[in-house]
Amino acid sequence: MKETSFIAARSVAEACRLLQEHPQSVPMAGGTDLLVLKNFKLISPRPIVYLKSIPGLSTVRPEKEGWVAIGALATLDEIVKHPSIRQGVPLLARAAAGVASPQIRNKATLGGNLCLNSRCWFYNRSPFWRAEFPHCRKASGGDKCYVMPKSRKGCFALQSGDTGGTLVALGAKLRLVSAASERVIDVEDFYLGDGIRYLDLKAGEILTEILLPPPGQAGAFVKFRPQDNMDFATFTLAVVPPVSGAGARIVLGCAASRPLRARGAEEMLDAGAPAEDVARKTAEEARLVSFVRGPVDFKKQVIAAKMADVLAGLKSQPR
Amino acid sequence: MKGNQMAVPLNLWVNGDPVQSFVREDETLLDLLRDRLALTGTKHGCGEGQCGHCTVLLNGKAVNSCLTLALEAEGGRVLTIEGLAQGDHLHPVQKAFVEAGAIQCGYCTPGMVMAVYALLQENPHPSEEEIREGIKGVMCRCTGYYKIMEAVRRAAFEPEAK
Repeated sequence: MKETSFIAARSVAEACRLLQEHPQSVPMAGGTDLLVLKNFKLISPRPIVYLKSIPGLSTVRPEKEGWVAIGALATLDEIVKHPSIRQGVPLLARAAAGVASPQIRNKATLGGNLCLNSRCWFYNRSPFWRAEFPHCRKASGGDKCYVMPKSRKGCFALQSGDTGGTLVALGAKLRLVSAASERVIDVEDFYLGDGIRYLDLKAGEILTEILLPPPGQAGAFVKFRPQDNMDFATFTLAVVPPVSGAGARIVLGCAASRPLRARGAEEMLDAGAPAEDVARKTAEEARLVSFVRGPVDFKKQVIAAKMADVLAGLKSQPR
Repeated sequence: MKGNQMAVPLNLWVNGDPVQSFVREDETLLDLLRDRLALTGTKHGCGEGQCGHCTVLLNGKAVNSCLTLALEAEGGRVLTIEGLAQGDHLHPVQKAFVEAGAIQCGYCTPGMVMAVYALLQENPHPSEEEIREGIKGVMCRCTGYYKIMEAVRRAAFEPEAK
């Protein structure tokens, strides 16, 4: 029988129904991550449920009490160029601007960046390359992990969307819609911390909106990669300074299977501790994996150095 | 036709001409352009969005055609390198590349020219940093980018380029 491998959904309800009906279906927005995985035979969606054909899911609109709702299908390019996001939430605009190339940002969406598949040195490879490393838990459902050979279970592939950590730092929420229900959760809770089951997204559920709290202080965003070229981050650092001694957020993105909040360092920043102590604490408390994008010691040194830079920059920022 | 995939009809505009075709559902825009429409100016490089040699404009925006399904272009306007020159008359961006010597092996050139065209459409007078960002998505392994940067500067001061 001929099988359909691509269906353009016309509404959120239709997309949810299709995803529910076809257990092997995969939703696609920009497709800049999904089509690469498909070419590498890491996923074989049957069918692809295309979401960009759903009207009205890429607008930026004001919500009550100063919150702003961004449609999940807004492209990263639209996020970068949107005047109210540039002015009100520069942290998000900067994170979006750092993603890949203009070509990718023209297609890739904010929702897609948040839902980006977790990445690993041993996973995002061609079938030929992977043949040398069989039984990977994520790639072939096996019982091996080449990153953490002694681990008995779990996967350590990294959360890799640059906007994820940033939205955690901003305290944003997500609207998740399924055929039967709708829920709003913190971005922080969206990531489960495992490389295989990395998102709290149930079958038949799609991310429709990103909800941003009223603009507060500007904060800072750093994307670190070995060269300033088109590459995934070794880590991202998003920092929101405290307001009258409370509410600081320090979030490391792309460094583990979920964005990591440096809670100890946040408390120190709230309490007005010296910048170098906060920077050291941020690096200390990050639980990182070696191998993927550099050894732990290297990453911790760079995190502390970048954090010190960020804090120096924030000090000179007008309040 | 590969496997048991269905062929579905597709209507779009390519370089200003209406095109009707049948495509596989998982066929990329790049495959459609090169294999069905014989527009081989657009190059297949890495197939994973890294090299940018497959850059075309879809509805006025530069995209990697290898990471775009043909069906995504339904009803859309596609501009490829073949659509830039008017007969023998090169587009100012192409002319600037020739004059600046911004070409060596030439494989990246169609993608690079399309990326620069898209950049100048949006930002007629880009700064040095904006030029770098604009061509970031296209890899050139020959020129070291300096001649390409010069070509963009030349094109930016050519009134017809916009």
